Amino acid sequence: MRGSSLSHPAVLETLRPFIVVSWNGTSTREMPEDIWEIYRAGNLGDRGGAIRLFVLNPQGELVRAFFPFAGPSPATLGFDRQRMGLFLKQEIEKATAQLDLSGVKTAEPKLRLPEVGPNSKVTQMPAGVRILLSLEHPFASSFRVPVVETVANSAAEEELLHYPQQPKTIAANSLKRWLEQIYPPAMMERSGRIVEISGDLNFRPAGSEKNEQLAILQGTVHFTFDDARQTRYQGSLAMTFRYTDEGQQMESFRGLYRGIFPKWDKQGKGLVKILMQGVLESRPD
Amino acid sequence: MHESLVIRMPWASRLLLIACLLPSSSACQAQADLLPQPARRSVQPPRRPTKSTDPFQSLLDFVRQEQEIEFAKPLPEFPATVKGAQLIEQQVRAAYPSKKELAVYSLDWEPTLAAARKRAQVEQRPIFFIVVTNYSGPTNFFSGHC
Repeated sequence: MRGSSLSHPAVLETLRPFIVVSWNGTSTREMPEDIWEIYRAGNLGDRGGAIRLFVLNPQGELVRAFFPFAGPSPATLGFDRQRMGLFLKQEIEKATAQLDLSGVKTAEPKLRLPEVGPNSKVTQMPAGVRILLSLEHPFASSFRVPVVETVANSAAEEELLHYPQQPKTIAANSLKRWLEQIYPPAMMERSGRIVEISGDLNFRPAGSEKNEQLAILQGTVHFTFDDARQTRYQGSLAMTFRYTDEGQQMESFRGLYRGIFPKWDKQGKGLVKILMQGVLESRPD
Repeated sequence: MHESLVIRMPWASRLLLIACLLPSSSACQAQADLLPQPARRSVQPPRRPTKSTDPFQSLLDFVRQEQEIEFAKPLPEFPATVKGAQLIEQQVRAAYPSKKELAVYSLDWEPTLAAARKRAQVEQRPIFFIVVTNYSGPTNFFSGHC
């Protein structure tokens, strides 16, 4: 839904007056009381899939509940983004017909990406990293919108990524908290997490520019993913780090990851290669 | 197709794709005709169109193959110099997803239902609430790992 109907321009425009919020869990048993109340009042049954949508009025009361797809899955509309988008728009409009939105003021749309909050655990490097993972699947639409994850840095990354006075090798696994975000969405098998990361990364000083000392981190990262086949995949990472105070303070970093995730298609279409390209950037700026 | 991934395509593939996307482009058919065609195994027409009989699809398949080759290769070895560091930063800028790709983040998100309800009351706005219950894997609709 995120990569298909929700990102359809007509749906985005229809949702401008709304405040949008999501809740995620593996089952209804984990639901806090306020969410369970809405969920139960929606009375949607079990046939429409794992995503349920609710429109609430400004008082927080349920107006309408519905599924994002015309049938039990996106397949009902042929995985057609246009049809799925128009279907969702119509469903939202059925709810807004019962609401008076004439007085609602909406701000100009502005991108607000997931952000790293204040972080007192590090003082010599930025608070965290944002990873934007773009994916290209040969036929599935669920990969169209990039995954955007953030990770707060810890003392371990701060210690590891001190300015390298000499070239050195660091284990990719020691950056696991960052790199374990590099996997495709919609896997839905076993724990769906990365269980092992290996590889060596070369960390080298790369000269000075103005008052900044630069360093480059580069190498190949190997992953083992916890799905039905324990899929192994690999990719290439290259990052630039900028320091001040003769290397004492890391100011920023930017990096690029590129690789392929081999996935066995459940509908019998054989092995598909999901192209993954990740941008890693220090946050805040 | 991801714009940021298209950027990573080799130039030849990009030109082919652009030519094919031009409206009423005769270049599209001309280029497609140049692509290798599979050997015909039977005089019987295929029961349904396949990748190989659709010129546009053939072209996309070709571009896709080029991308797969590119993505299977490691990134070039960047020299440990200021120039090398700047080259990485340039590649990061080129790979950054576009505003269009990130458009779901132009919606007015709140992290929790309680926070959304509070603001909705003050601003007199409705709430669009998405509930995901996936039995396996990490689930985060907002980040996209769901």
